[in-house]
Amino acid sequence: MKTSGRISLILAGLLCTTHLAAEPQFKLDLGKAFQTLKSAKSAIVPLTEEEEIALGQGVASNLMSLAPLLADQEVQTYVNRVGRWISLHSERPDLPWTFAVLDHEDINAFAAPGGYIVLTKGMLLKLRSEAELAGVLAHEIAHIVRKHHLNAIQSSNAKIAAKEGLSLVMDAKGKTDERLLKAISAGTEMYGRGLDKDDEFESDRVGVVLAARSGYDPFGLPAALQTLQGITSDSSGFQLMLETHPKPSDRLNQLDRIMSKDFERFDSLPDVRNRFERITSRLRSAK
Amino acid sequence: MKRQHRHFLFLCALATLSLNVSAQNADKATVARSAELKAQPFSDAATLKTLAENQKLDVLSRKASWMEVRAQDMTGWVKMLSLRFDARAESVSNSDNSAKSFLSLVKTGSSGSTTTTGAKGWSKESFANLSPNPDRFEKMKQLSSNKSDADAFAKQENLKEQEQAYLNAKGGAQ
Repeated sequence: MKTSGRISLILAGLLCTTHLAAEPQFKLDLGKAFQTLKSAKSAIVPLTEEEEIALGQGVASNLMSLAPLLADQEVQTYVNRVGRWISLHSERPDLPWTFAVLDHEDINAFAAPGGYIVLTKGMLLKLRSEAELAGVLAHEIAHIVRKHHLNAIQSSNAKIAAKEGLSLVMDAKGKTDERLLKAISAGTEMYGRGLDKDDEFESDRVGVVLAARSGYDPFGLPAALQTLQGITSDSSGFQLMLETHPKPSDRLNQLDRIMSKDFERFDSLPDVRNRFERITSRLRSAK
Repeated sequence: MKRQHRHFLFLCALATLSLNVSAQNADKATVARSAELKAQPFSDAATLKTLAENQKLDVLSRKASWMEVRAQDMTGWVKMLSLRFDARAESVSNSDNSAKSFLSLVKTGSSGSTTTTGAKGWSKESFANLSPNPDRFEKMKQLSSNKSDADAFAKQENLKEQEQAYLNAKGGAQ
């Protein structure tokens, strides 16, 4: 009790000052403090929604430099409508939900805090119905609703800040704030490393529920995962996705466990295959 | 009688043809755990046979939680999550697309195209030191749909909202 109280005090000190205390005693405790930091979520000051959006915009703007936007306006609008519809069935329907398809062959999708979601053309072309697209987008929406990236960015930022002796408080209000820029840059790098595996499993669980609530055949996400399961790990454009996510078979096992109970009652929900095929046909024939 | 016979032959030919076509387009899957092959995609449909673990089969189509499969000479429906999809080099669900995408990769390679849509995949390093692209981000923001737009879009396909609580990892309500 006494020790943890001291660590809290140290953390509080870290939180409130921009200068590293020079006392030797502090240095000794720093390692301990880092370890505690992981579990001490209260040490991380929650951002306001406005700050979260500013952070997400910075990350999304960085992600935009990965590849050009797909030039097919109809497909872009279509993906936005599917995604927006699903977002309305989450607890955060009023975020500025925005979706973009990047013209890249890699198979991937990313969610930035505040409601910004990026999907690759490579991913879109692996899908067979609107329900599968809905499943993939719902998984990404779940990351944002549950603040997975936001929390990871904040906690890694807190570690960096502590290491550098900077304030742990991330104030995203001033857009030119150096700390925000650092957070955005560190946050973007995180997309190359991936989230905690538990966050991915949680997004799968939330994703199938959001798809069902939106009236889609909720087996779209597992169907997409089975497609991914059928792709070899050395296929080009699939490596990063595999490195940053749990194995498709583990994800499918979880969905099997949770959906076998009563998701059969959704068996009559549509997979909206025709609309998907019609709108993405140009893309497919262009390949 | 004769006519009936001809009709039958025609149907056989058609069936063979469609079998060939679907064999080309089929995905290969393996039975991950023993499952019942049903005549129709319903739990209370007649059971045609029990599929043994590790049996290989062709997947023809999906209907919600059911996959239409061909196991040896029998076609029926099996729960999709009792199947495992084996990794194949150019596997893709829709083999039509995979063939095309494979071809396009070859084409891109041989034409020496320098577009960013080439075969080079992203890696961890791709995300280090990315700089913002405000122009593209502005364009992205323009793509956003509003609620009423999304609502009308859902109505077009008669999507009906459902009640479903969030689930924990064990499948219980959260």
